[in-house]
Amino acid sequence: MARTGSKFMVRSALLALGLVYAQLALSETPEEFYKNNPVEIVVGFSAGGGTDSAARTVSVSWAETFGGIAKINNMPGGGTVVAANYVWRAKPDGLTLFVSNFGTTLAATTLFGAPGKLFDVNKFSYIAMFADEPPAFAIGKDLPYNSLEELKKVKGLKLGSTSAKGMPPFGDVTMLYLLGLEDGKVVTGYNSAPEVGLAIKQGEVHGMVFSANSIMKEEKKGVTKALATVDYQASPLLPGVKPVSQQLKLTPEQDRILKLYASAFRTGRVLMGPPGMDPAKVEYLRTKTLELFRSKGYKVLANTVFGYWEEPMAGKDVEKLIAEVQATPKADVELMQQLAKKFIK
Amino acid sequence: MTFHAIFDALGNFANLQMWLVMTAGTVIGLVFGLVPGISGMLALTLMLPFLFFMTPMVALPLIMTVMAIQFQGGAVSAILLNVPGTPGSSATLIDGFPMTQRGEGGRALGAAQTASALANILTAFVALAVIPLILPMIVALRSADMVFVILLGLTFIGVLASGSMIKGLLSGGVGLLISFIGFHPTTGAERFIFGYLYLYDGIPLVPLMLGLFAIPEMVALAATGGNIAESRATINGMADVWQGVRDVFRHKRLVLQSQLIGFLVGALPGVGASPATFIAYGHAKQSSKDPESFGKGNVEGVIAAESANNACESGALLTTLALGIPGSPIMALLLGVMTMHGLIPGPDMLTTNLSLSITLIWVIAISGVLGIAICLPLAPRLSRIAFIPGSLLAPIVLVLALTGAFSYHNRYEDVVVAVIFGLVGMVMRRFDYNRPALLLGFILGAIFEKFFFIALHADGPYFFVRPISLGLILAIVAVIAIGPVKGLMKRVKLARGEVKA
Repeated sequence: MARTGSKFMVRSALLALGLVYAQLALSETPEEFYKNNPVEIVVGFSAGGGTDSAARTVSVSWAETFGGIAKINNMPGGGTVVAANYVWRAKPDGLTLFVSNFGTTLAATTLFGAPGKLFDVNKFSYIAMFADEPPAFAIGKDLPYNSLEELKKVKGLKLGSTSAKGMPPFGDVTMLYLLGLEDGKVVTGYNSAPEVGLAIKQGEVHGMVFSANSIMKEEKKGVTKALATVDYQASPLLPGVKPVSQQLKLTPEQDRILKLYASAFRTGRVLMGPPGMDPAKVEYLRTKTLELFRSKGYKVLANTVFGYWEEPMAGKDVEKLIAEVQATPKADVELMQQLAKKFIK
Repeated sequence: MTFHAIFDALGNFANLQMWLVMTAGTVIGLVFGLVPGISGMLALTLMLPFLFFMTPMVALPLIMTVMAIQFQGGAVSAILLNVPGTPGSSATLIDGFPMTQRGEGGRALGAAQTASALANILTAFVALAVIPLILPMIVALRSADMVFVILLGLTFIGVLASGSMIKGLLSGGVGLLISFIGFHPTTGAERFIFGYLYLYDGIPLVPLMLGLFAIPEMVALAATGGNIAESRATINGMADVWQGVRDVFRHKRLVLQSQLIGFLVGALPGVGASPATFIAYGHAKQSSKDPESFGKGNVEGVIAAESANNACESGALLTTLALGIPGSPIMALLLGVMTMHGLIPGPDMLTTNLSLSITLIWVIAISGVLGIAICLPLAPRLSRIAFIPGSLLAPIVLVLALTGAFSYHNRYEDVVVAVIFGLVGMVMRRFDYNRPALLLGFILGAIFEKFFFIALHADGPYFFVRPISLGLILAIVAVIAIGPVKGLMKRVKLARGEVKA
């Protein structure tokens, strides 16, 4: 009898402790929560790449803003779909976050589909977009052309691009279409922008479309010369290089394709969480990450890693951007796919 | 300017911090290289948050040391357990493990460590000498030529076959087929994926390698009882190790040739250490006076493979720095750390930042010395692993191998792949099919396909009509013909009575 009584006492004490702990946990403010708990930032690429470096700029600045720590979990595979699926299914406690490219993971998979995709881009908890840069077009430094108008007359222009992996290189396709080069060709299969740079130096291909940062690096190597940003805006990384929209007289159809490419394939890195996160935590993360991205220390870091700093975009605006991309007319998407088939021979 | 940079770079070694960093890197590289599947890449990924805060003069030498030294650790498990610690150590086990079975583990370790250290030291000097030549060489080789460089590597599948040639070619062919799983490199078409996301990027190398070699060997060891070394084998401690060291100096020509192969192949963008080691191994077998003993424990096989995989790093470093094209995941990480510190790879690294580049080359050379200083005294003790009872050793190695497979990308599917290829390896072992040939076919298949389709799309069906490509085609014909021609000459000499049967 006495034993049953002591058992009851122990159970009651444990239950009380549990309730107190639950109460404390429930009453924990987002500020305390992120100060006391480590965050996992998932990256869909191997360590050492551009997106990994971008995520690490957040990770190293995290403690200063949030008080806690953020560790990177590299999860490459399936063109970031593996990592996106992982975050999609993660517990929405706010401790699993994801850094990925707006174009690769969100826009392109929505418009063109992606094999193995389990997620719905409308339901992620968007926190902010940072390190956004327009793509740019460059050709071999030694080629005797210095403007897009001159290039329009070239026969058999070949642009090099990274491996297709289920997603055609729409940047190169867009550029050939805007230049009106019917016999232009996109050669895919290279592993990175520097590999395409080498192919340009070797005369295997003539040009490339990559992020402004990658183009800037190839320019510094003396391999290429940038002729335009494939966008409606210029890039601070490529001073003096005008957007393609200001250099070519585009037909309405060409303008629609440029608009599709510029909005859907931007290189901005999005920080987001799984669906169903506590709105208070999402709001807190949105406010504090903007603070992080605007801090003096982060600006120095961004200038070192990316070569520039740009005003971040708030999570709510990322949601709007995704809605805009989804509203792209089906005809434009189909035209883009037809162009890909035409130029990737 | 180069001389000035060389002395500037030497000045960086005049502080204690640099030596502490290199010693730490040496220990980390050896330990992580030694454990099957857990290579230096994992060590550096774990250290990445700290590398971010280090100065370039600390972070980059640390990466270089771990990278340069991991093959020395990788050779130990390849020789003693038939499990390559790193993919670059795959060719080492072909002769290293039979030597261990004969009780010559100490000798094989002595040869491997000396060959590795010499490769690190000598190719560092070669790298310094060829800095002005390396860029023109890389630029001269287009995708069309790379097709034939890889094809040259593939022809060594036949050379690797120590038993039946047909079984060797079949094994290589199966490796090629497995390499085609996943997205097509140019069209993005899905092949043999069956809707399973894991297979989109193809079968990963490390789990395949661990399954193919570690599981069959350990299961066989557990099943048959006893230990790795044959019962009549004896070990003579340091004397065995010194014999291995002397072996390396007896084969100076082989050492230099294998280093040259490793250095040149390493400098080729996107090829990596594994093909270099197999090409060097194939060359060693073809040029040996005793090719029949290859695959059965010929120390020349160990020397060639270890000279090549370490020499590869100096070549790969120059390409990475000059072009920003990493030849291995560790080189990609090196680039990442450089970016974090605002250093942009390019010709500037061989001109304006030459001093830093040369410092990294010196680091490779010095880590070779540090590596051998640690490994040689340990070799006699390590070689005793071959005498540990199989019932104790097998479960430990199997757990390490499967943990290594999991830690590759933290995915349970990788463990499943390791187990599946373990079963494949067991069947191949039972029926005497050639596992290294399968691995070589697998590694080169993906690279060959990439360059082939780029060449075809960029230059059309006659892409091979280039002087370099045609020269390489002739080299391939020579490699294929050399065996039959040697046989024919032997028969002619026999018929003339010039040699005895």
